[in-house]
Amino acid sequence: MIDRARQAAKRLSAALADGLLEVFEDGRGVVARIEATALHKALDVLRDDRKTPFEMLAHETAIDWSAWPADAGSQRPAERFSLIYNLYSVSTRTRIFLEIALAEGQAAPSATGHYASANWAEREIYDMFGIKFTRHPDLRRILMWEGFEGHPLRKDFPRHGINPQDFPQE
Amino acid sequence: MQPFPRDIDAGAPLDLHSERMKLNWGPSHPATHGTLRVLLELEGETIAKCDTEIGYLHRGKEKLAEDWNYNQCVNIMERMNYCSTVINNCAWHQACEKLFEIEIPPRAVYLRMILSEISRIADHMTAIGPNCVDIGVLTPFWYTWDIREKAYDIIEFVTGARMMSAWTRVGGLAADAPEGFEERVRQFVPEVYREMDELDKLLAANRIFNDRSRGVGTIGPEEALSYGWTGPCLRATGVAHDLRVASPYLAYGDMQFDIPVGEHGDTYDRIFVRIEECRQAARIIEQALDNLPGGPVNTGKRHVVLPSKDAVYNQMEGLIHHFEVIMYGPKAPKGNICYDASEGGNGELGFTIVSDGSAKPYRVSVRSPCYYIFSALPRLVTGRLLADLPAIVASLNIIAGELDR
Repeated sequence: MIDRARQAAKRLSAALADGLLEVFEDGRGVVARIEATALHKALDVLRDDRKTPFEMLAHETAIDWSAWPADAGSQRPAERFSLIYNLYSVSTRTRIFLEIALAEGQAAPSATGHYASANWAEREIYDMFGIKFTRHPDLRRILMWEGFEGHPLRKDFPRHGINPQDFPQE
Repeated sequence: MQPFPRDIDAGAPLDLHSERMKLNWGPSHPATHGTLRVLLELEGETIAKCDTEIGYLHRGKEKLAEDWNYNQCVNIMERMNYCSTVINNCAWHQACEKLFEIEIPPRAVYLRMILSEISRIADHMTAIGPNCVDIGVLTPFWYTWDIREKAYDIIEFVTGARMMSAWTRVGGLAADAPEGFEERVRQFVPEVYREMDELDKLLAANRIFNDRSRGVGTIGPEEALSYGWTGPCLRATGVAHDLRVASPYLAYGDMQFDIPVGEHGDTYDRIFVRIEECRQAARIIEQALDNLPGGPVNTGKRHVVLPSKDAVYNQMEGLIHHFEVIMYGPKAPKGNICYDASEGGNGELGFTIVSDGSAKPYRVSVRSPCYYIFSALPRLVTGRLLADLPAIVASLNIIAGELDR
C-alpha cells in the first residue's frame, strides 16, 4: 500500500513539475510538500488518478509552528502554518498526505470544489487558526460562537482564554 | 339581528397563509441525542432548507492536549465518543505508540482488541436502541439496553469504570484483566448472538420500522466518500471499507470476520449493518479469547512504562523511573509527526500527533468520524418530511462529544 502511495507521488510530481517541492516519508506515510498555488492541480491529479484514485479527503488540518522549540528537530518550515491534507483511496487502501506552507495572513485555496468534506474541515481551520480560504462557499465559524475573538488553536492564544473575567486564572 | 354579509370581499381569491415556516430543533431536544442545533425552513411538512449549528459541546480537547502528557490525554480523548470509550483509549495510545516507536506485548494487543469489540457492541446498541424509539418502535430498545448493560458490566469489571475507563497507557495497559475475565466474556458472547437474532426478528418484519426507515436518508457511495464518511454509515452505502481489514492493526489481521455492507445507504441499512457488525464483533471476541496469550501487559521500556513495584521499592533507579513517569510523563522522540487511525464505533478515528520532544504533544489533531458524517445532514434531509429528521440523525449515530471535541 505504501508502494502505491509512492507511485502516486511520482505521478503527482510528474504532473506538477515545479509546484511540487519535495516528497518524503515520516510517521504519517508518504507526504508531498507542494506550493499552495498547485493545490487544485494536485487534487485533480490524485482524485482522478486511474491506478490509485483518492476518493476521500479523510481529514484536513493545520499546524501552527510559531512556538516550535529551537532544539526540537529540523522540521519547522519557514512559514508559520502548515496545512495537511489527508487523502485516502478506499478502493486501493492507500493514504497520501499533501502539505502546504502558509505565512501569517495568507489565504489558502479551498478544496471544497474537489471534496465535500473540505467544507467543514476548512471552516474548523478558519475557526481555530484564522486561516482564510479563497472561494469557500460558507466560511463561518463552526465550533466557537459568532463574535468570539481570537483563534483558539493558535499558539499565542492562552489556554485559559483571553478574557480573564470570563475565564478565571489558575 | 343583522344578517351576516355574504360577500364582504367578493373579488379577492381565497388564499391560505403559505409562507415558509422557520423551525429550530435543538440544541436541547430529546431526539438530538446530544447538544446540536438544526435550523429548518419548512414548506408544509417538507424540509426545504436545513442548516446546522454545532459546537455546544466544544471543550477544546486539541488545545487541552497540548498541555497534558500522553498518559493524561487518554482522559480527554475518551470523552469524545463516550459510548465506546475503550475504542478511544486504544486508538489514542496506539497513535502514541506509533509516535514513540514502541510495540506492545501480545497480551495487551489481545486484551485491547477484546475490550474494543465489547465496546463496539455497546456503541452500536446505543445507536440502534434510541433510533428505534425515535421512529416509534419501543420494544427493541430494551433488548439493546440489556446487551449494552452486559457489555458495560464487563468493561467495568476490567477497567473499573462503566464509561470513563482510561484503561490504556503508553506502552500497554493500566492493569491486566482480573481473574474471571475469560469466563465472563465467554458467557457474554452467546448472549450477543441470541440478542442480535431477537433484534433481527423484532425489526426485519416490523411494518412501522420498515415504513419509517427504508429509503429514508439515502445517500450513494460516491457522495458518501466525498463527504468523508467512514464506518457503518459508509458500509451501509455498499462500500466494504473497514480499517480493521484495510490496514490491520492490533491483531485484527489474524482474525476471521466479515465486513457487512448495505445496499441503499438508508436508515434501514445503517441499522442492520450495525446489528451484523455486533455479530462479527462477537466472532472476533471468541477467536481472540481462544488465542489470548499470557505474559505481561506492558512493554518493559524504561522512562515510558511504570517499573515493577519490586524495582520501585528496592532499587534507586526504579524509584527514579517511577517518579519520572508519574511527574513528567513519558517523553516522545523529537520532531516526530505521525498519523494513526483506528476503526471507531462510527468510523475512522484518527490522530495526527506532532511531538517536539517534550512529554506533551505539540499539536494533536483529531479526525473524528461524526464530524464528517454530520456535515452531510442538510444533503440528507432536504426534501424529506420533518418526521424523518430524527430518524436520520439517530441512524448516523451523532455523538456530540465526538462532533464538537
